[in-house]
Amino acid sequence: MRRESGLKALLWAISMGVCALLVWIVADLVSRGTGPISLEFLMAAPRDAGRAGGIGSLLVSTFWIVAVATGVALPIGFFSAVLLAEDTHSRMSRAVRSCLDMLNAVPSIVFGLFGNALFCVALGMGYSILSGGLTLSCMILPILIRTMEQSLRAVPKEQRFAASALGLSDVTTLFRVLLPPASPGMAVGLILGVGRALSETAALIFTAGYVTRFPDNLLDSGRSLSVHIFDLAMNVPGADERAYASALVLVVILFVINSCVRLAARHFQARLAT
Amino acid sequence: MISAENVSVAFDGKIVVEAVSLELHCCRITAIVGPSGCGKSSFLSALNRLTDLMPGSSIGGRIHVDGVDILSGKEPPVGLRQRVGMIFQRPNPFPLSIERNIQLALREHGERNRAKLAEATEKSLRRVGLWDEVKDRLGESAMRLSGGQQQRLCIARALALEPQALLFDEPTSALDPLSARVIEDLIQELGHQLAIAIVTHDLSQAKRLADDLTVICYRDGRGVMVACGPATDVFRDPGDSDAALYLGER
Repeated sequence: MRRESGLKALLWAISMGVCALLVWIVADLVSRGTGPISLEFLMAAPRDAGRAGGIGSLLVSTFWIVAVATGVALPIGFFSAVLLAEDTHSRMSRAVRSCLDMLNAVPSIVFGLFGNALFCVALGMGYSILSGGLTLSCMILPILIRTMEQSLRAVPKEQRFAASALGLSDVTTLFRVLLPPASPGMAVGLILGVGRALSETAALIFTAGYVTRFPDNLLDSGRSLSVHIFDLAMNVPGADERAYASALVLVVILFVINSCVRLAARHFQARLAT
Repeated sequence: MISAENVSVAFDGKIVVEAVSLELHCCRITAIVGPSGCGKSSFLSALNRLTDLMPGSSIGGRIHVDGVDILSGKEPPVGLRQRVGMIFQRPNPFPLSIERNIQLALREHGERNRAKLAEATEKSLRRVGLWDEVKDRLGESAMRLSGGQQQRLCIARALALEPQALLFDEPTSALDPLSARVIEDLIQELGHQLAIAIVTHDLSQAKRLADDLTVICYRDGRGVMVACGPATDVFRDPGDSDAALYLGER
């Protein structure tokens, strides 16, 4: 009994430790980074290498890079996950799963070099938001596919049997029977993917570039917020406060996206379930 | 009428059950009993080709539903499963509303008229005695129902398609005794309207429900049908030592 309560206390302490770490990081960002934050900071382009001005252009570039990455990766990821979840035993699906797991472990700098060689050079897109977004889509695909596949496979087999026993088509079974219970898990996959895309630095330095002005189109070079934070922290003396402010904005965006995706998944689940 | 002749089911080439021959007739309940793992459920799943969903499965012998050979590949399984429904061991309502659980398959098979859908919903829920319990909350999630209610909903869902036969795979084994009794009474009632096959481990349940009885036992590592006939006759004199042992032991 005493051993059980000791174990419980240890688990609580570990959980609280994880939460405390998050609170610490956020508190540190808030205490050091709130100074420069204003409407102008959020709207204007950086000046003087980031020591003055704002992060408006970087927010726009980041938005488009993440939009391209998720816009490309989400449909491919979803349908690949469906295929893998349905075809669990074939040699082909096992091989694809192994490849995905290996890809998931590849360092992002390698994706950056690959994206540079393929999208920037071979396909002639140059340093651009499109190159950056497409590179990130390759990077987040493994985590999207694997989490979505796991969510679909977690739905009890009996549901598939019940659907087939009623003569439901595969499409109806997928969208009406399997997706409602799987959607929260799939949303977690999306959050992980978007989170990884938002916070990526190394892959974007080689593909999306460094330019801080507002992008005119997807073939313009654009600096993402995480690249900007890295640059301010490492290469620009006297810009620490702005690096913290930019990091705070990035974390707030992550929180907002996290909450929105969870809410959307719950709404989607409720809508499908009626 | 469903007739199975010398049916065998194999997975990845390994036969799990063989030499099963029986007939399911309208308004009769056929119980299939035997030790765990002897292939009763696999045989039952073969009767409406649900085995197609199991990787590596194959069916031998002949199965006719209303004179049509369902293993010939001429009839698509979708139509077959409309006519021969199946109820599983665990209640498995879809994560949808009660109403949508009933109507999903009807819509899938072409019924779009709302009045007809509502009528079919009420009719099938009444047939399983669930209408009065849920009529005011048809829009609620089916997952909120109790286990027994969920199982009755699953039966109503199958009945909405107006099947000729229902296959029950241990339908009460995951339920509490009270809910199990309700389901058993319901099966008995449906036994006056449809052809019913029920796989069960509960011999007293088989005695209460079955008009006909089939016993499957292990021989040489696979399930083999060892007795078949009117339930009272088979219980009195199985005509096979393994069947007698199984029925006597239990």
